[in-house]
Amino acid sequence: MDITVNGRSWQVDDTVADSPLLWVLRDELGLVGTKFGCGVGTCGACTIHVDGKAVRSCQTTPADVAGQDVTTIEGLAGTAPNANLHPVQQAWIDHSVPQCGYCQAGQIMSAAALLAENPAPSDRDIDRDMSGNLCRCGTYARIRSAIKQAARNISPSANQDAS
Amino acid sequence: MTHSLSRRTFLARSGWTATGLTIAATVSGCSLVPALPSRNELAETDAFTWLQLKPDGVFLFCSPRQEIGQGISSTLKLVIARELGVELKQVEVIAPDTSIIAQAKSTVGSESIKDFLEPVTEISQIMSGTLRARAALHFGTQPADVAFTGKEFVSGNGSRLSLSELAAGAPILLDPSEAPTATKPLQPKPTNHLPSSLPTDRIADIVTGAPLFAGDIQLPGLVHGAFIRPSQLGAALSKASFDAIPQDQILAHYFDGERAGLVALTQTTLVEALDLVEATWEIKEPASQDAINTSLALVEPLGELEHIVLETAGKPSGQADIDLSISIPFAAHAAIEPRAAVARWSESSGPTLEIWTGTQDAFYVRSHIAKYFGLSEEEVVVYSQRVGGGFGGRTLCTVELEAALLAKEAGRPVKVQWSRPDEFQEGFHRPPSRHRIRARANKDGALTDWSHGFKSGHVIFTSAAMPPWMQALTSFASDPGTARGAKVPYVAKRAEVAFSDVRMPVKTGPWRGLGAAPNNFAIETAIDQLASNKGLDPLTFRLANLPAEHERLSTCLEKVAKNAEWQGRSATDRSARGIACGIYKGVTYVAVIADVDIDRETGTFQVTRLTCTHDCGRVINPDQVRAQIEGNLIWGLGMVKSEELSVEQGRLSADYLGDYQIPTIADTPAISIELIEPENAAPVGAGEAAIVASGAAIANAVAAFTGQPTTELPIRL
Repeated sequence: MDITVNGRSWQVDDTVADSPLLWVLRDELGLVGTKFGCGVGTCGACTIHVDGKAVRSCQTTPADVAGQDVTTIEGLAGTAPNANLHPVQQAWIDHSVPQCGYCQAGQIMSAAALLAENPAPSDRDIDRDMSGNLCRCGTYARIRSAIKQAARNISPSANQDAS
Repeated sequence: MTHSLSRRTFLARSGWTATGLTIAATVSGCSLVPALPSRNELAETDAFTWLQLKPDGVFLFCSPRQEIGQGISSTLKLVIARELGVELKQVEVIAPDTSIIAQAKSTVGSESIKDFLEPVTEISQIMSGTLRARAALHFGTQPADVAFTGKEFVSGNGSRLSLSELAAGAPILLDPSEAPTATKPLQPKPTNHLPSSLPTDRIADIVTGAPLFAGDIQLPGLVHGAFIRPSQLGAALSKASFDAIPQDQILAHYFDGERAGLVALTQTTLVEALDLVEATWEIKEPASQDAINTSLALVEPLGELEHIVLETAGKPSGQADIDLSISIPFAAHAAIEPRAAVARWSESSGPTLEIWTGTQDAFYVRSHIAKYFGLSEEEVVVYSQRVGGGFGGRTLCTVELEAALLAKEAGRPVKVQWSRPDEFQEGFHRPPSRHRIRARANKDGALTDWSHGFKSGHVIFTSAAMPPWMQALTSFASDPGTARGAKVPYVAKRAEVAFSDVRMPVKTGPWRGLGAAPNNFAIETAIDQLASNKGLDPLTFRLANLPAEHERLSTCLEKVAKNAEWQGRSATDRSARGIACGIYKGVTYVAVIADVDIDRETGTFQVTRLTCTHDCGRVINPDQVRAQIEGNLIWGLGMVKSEELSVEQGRLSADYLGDYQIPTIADTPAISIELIEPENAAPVGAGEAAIVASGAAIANAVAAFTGQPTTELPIRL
């Protein structure tokens, strides 16, 4: 069967159609930016976009995403060579968010999906939307700041919650 | 200035001789190496293996320190770039590779800056002198007549030589036998072109998903392996049958009488096949929380506790003003990266066995595996990968041996990726502890009597780290990990602190801060209660009872009070404020004020602000020190708010992260941190200091609200 990942069509073996998409991405397609953290959808490390929405790839199969656009952290900035980083990725660097870095691909994918839907999230919106993405290093305060900066950079005119 | 990197000066400077493990080896009368992680001394020539100039003109820093999220790679990179007078992009860092660098001790205990700043600085200066001397030779002039622009050398007559031209096609390594004398920096300091602070190394790769971790390793022919696990703690495997697994589903199976594992082409088929292994387990004595609780029950008198931490001439006496018992549970590291390792055996030239893993001690992994397979240490190479959260949890050899066993059986490279239940059930945990503190103060607010007894599971001499015969040998030694932070920083005329370490039916070991997190939590909870009991402000009471030698802690307290506008322990009908402080490993000072909102109806609380002052001496990379403090503050929050493991039905109570609750972004308060840098104070650790105060500050705020001190973690309102 075919799946579309980061704007490219990939052929995957029918035998893995019902396997976790996470392992297909990592082991078959070599896209290892999407991380394994729990396998049951409780940590958020494996977050990807399916048609722009944040989805846990450990709870999704290739069959589930047939005909839809899958984006992983490797494709978030776009597929053009030398594409600029996505504003969320840039904000993560500017705010020096990562410590160990393991959960951060999932955090970034969730944050990018949040901003696509809500261009000016409040602290409360961020807390509600990002609570499923765990970070053991405790980088959360910087994640909040980075999301707000990214929001400003994506839509400078958006009415920002000052809190 | 000449540099002689003598063994003695290195050791004296770095304190690399005295460690708890050396003591253990002496006490038990046998060598524990390699049964315990490596804590070797640094030899004279070790640092010479850390730095080289590659043919492309980029410096390669082969770090002796693992990158576990503490930001040490970028911090040491900054130090090297400053010393060499080059741009950051001209320095590349790789994590410990046992085939390149001399044996380095475990990345534990917040020691990387304290112990490695000087040798890394010196080896950079030696590299600088070596290159200048070589350039001078090339120009036919004297080193003093050679200038360096950051990219190339320039002679007096204007001839130029780039770094890659100097290397001339081969890496320039440092040879201790050609001890260089010229150590003037390549470019005068300060190097204004460099930033004052750096984020973690490889941050661009992190945000774009480039391969960095052990699980990301891809090799030709790589397949997947896993071991079956018991459903009960301490169960022994007696029989395993693989007959129920369809032949084409697996590539190999393994059974050695003690463990059984499988190798399959994909992770998915592997997990399905694991369910089909028919195993017989024998359980001698099921673990139970009741038995653990009984073993931790404190008995009178304190003299029954075998390890004395502090004892004054006069014993605490008289009627205690407070008599506080505190119960602290098991806690998990819960790193988001479950352990993973890749192993590859080779019959051709080169190393016999290669291991890729995220570990806090690559040399221990090498040593353990070499011993297991009867190989020489040179035949095993460990390539360290970035660790997806260490916190003390990656100090042993577990998944690496599993990958090596299965790769040997399968005859091809194998990756073993632990599951989340493996992490909880097969990993090790912070031991539980029970504390009893009795204390007295006089009418002037001076602490007069302090008595702290506690029982805890082991931290260093644990069942996770050593076989039963060796545990028996260490039974008489005081576990230095359990004891950490137990010595009360306040002065009492009569004081005694003593503990017993108790064998647990659960694997235990180092967890961020080791014993210091629970021990100082107990101390700071008690001191707050004593102040309250005496009707005194907890800040004033602390300051009044700290000795002059802890002036830096007093400064932290005074500054945190100023920053948070402290006006006394306070509570309204929905919010409260608390304070706590502590000293980590005798060198790092921290104070925290917590603001907490409390909902009486739902019995929940939310920390709204943590204000922290932190003195770890001179700060080399402020951004990464702040990051470590932020993480510590959150760990303290988790410790008092939600984190708890227990034994239920013979196994640990959590299999997934929902069962064991670490803080989320919604739990995260506003954080403000002031770094205090006393003049001429040596740089020390920041990786596990603030945790000793943040939990207690939060608990003391809750206590100000309820009127009752915390007696059990996590806090239940």
